[in-house]
Amino acid sequence: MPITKTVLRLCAAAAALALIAGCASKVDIIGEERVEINKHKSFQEGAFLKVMAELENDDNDETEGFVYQIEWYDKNGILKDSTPWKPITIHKNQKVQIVEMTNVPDVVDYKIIVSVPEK
Amino acid sequence: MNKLSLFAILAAATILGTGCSSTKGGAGMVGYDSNVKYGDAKAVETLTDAFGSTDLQSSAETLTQSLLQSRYIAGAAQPPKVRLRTVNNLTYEHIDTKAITDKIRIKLLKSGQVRFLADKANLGEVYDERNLTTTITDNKAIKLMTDADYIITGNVRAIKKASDDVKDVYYNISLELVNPQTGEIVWADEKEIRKVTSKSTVGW
Repeated sequence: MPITKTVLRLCAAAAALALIAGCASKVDIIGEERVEINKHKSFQEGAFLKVMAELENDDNDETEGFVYQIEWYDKNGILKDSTPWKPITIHKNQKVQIVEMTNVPDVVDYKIIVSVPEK
Repeated sequence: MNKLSLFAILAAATILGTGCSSTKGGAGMVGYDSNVKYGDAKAVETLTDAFGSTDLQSSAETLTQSLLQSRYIAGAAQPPKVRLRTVNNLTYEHIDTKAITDKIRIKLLKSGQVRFLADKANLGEVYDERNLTTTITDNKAIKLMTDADYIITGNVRAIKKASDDVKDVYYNISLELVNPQTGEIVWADEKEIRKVTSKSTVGW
């Protein structure tokens, strides 16, 4: 019985790790990590994939200006399209939600890329 | 004689060596060491505060996303036929508003959710082509060509303000989807852009 419990715990830990790894691959921060992507999720809006992400600037002193882009992938993992780099400003100690939707059908996956300039 | 041979071999080796080391990449490129470089077409450009490529791209992206979510497009049984009409430039600078609508048209066509009819400006060309290819143009065929389910119109506006230290430009790009039969505006959305330029102490 204890062996079964241990196996179950190991499975749960492996699943959690896989989940974290899966989430991490959907996010890429280029440059200094002065902003954080707290959470992100996607859902289907008709024929198109929609992505929502919450970005946070947890610095109490500095307003952050940076750019982000979302890459859209099909079921084979091929890049179908990408949004233009979009500028965004987050005031100190604030969170901002971004919502983007692909304009092309057959997109099933996404990657959020955030590029923070050096100061 | 031996020394001469040694010199010759050394010289040949040097030339060969130099020749090898000076072989650079750049095959398939002309003027690869010039000052002209290709950049990321989707990168954010902040060279001046004038309406630029980033504003064009982000406006088209946002307004297309919004239009595709409108129930008149997303909920239509068949992709509606749309014609682009003029987007008025109400700013004091030259903005090619057709670039905005053309970009939106490309995105909407790629989405497969909308069909587009030729612009009014190009309709003359289409008429000419029809007259060339058909001897009898019946009214029904013309009706197919001219009857749009919706038209897209809009405005670009700008508000500029400047103090001694800061220059502020606000752009507002608004589009409308109008049913030409009833005049009803079935969708409208806008993209707002603010650009702030800090004047340097040295001069700008």
